[in-house]
Amino acid sequence: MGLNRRLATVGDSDDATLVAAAQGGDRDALETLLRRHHDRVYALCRRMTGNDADARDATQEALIAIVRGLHRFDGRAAFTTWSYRVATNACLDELRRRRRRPEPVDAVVEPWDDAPSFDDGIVTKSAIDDALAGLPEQYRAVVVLRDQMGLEYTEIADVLGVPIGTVRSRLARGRAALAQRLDPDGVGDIGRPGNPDDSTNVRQDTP
Amino acid sequence: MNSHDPDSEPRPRETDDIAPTWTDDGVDERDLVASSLIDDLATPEERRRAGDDPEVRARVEFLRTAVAAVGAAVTPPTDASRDAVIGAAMAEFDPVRSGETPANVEPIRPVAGRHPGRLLLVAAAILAVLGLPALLVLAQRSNDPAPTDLAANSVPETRDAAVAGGVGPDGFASREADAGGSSPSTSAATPPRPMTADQADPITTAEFGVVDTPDELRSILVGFLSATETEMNADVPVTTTTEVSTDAGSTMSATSDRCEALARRTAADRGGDDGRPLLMATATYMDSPVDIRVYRTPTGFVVVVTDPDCQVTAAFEM
Repeated sequence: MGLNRRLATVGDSDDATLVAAAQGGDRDALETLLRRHHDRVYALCRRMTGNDADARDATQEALIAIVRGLHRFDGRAAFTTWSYRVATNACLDELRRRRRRPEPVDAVVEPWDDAPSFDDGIVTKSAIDDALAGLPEQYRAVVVLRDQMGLEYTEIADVLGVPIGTVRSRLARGRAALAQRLDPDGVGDIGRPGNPDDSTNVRQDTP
Repeated sequence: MNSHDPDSEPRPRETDDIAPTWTDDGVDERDLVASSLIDDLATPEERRRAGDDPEVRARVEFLRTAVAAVGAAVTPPTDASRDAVIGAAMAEFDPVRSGETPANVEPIRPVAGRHPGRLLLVAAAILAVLGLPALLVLAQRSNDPAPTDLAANSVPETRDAAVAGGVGPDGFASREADAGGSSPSTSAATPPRPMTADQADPITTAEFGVVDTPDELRSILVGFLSATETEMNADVPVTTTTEVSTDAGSTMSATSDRCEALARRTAADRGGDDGRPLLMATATYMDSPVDIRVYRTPTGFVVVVTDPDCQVTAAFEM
């Protein structure tokens, strides 16, 4: 079988078939699997980290972790869900590393042509990144996994290892905080019970 | 909640946000209902309530702005970036398959898309601290017409010769001794000796303590070089030993001659020069004592990690 034909055949396979082939040592199957999921992992990491460079690093770490851990993947979860967990962990690790190193030079802020518009102007990529960066990481992960990646609540709960009720509450609170940050003059009223920007509702972790 | 075998699945990562951590029970009830309505997961009771409460309906529209913003398409990376990332991941495949990877040592690979600022920081720090001595070494070597087969040199013999010639561990004492007239020949009349394998002691040495991951090693290298740069800015003389952290875990000699030639050859294969390492560090890396050497390349630096058996466990470029 020629290489192109072989790759075409592999490319048409579903994830489970590719995983099984890769676990059996099929290099083409693994590469097809990684290419198939790369952009999704990158999108998750881009939203989680807030910049392209960290997203690339986290994506690479995630794919390497997938390659290294594929032999332990038992197929009881969808490969997509498993890969999201690996990727989320990689993103959280990247964020942790970022806190230990000097801040990179700020990127140039450019308007985002297809962004949703608010009354006071267009939303920029930077505004979304900044708003997401204002969320605690576990809230950010829930919001990104739901609203960027489209995961169901049960899948998010599985990825993050938290109850569905926690997913629901974190999603609601995260969305409200984001909306408030993106549109401070919107419906959100600072100071009301449960408002994320109300510092009285914030608990400082103690060592 | 997790229905999978914990031994076969990656575990959800704990976070250590420096930002305040929210409590999960502080959510506004209207936001809960609005969010559930957006996802079409509201209960009949919640739907009834939304129908009766205009503020809940307003919250739905308000939260939709956040949903739309986060859900907007992410610009995919370039094909080159994608290929590089996938290539790096695929490079891990064969060692994993063949079981060549030591159980306790994780291979290190270059990370795609490093921040230019970080590279500049490393380069600037190394050049600031090591540039002048390295230039002196290169200048000295450039005066020697005889080629040196570093790999072929006998380490014990050349070590003895170096000691006999007054070469100190920093590689500069011999020149000072020559210039000081310990030999009848002056340094001007006698061409400097070529730097041989035994003289390949590092310009700077360090102890990194316990290092758990490849990325932690990179961070330490960056931090070490930054700290050294600070010392230089404070007019602290170049030292041959800098304690970054002291940890009893590392037991390997910082001047393991037996490994030097191997490390240098490995560096040369990756474009490293054949001189002494710019930096030599010891560490306990992935539970194993290792030596870490940094060599100069035409475009940057190459890092070589060797284990107690003088096996190269990792090598990467920076």
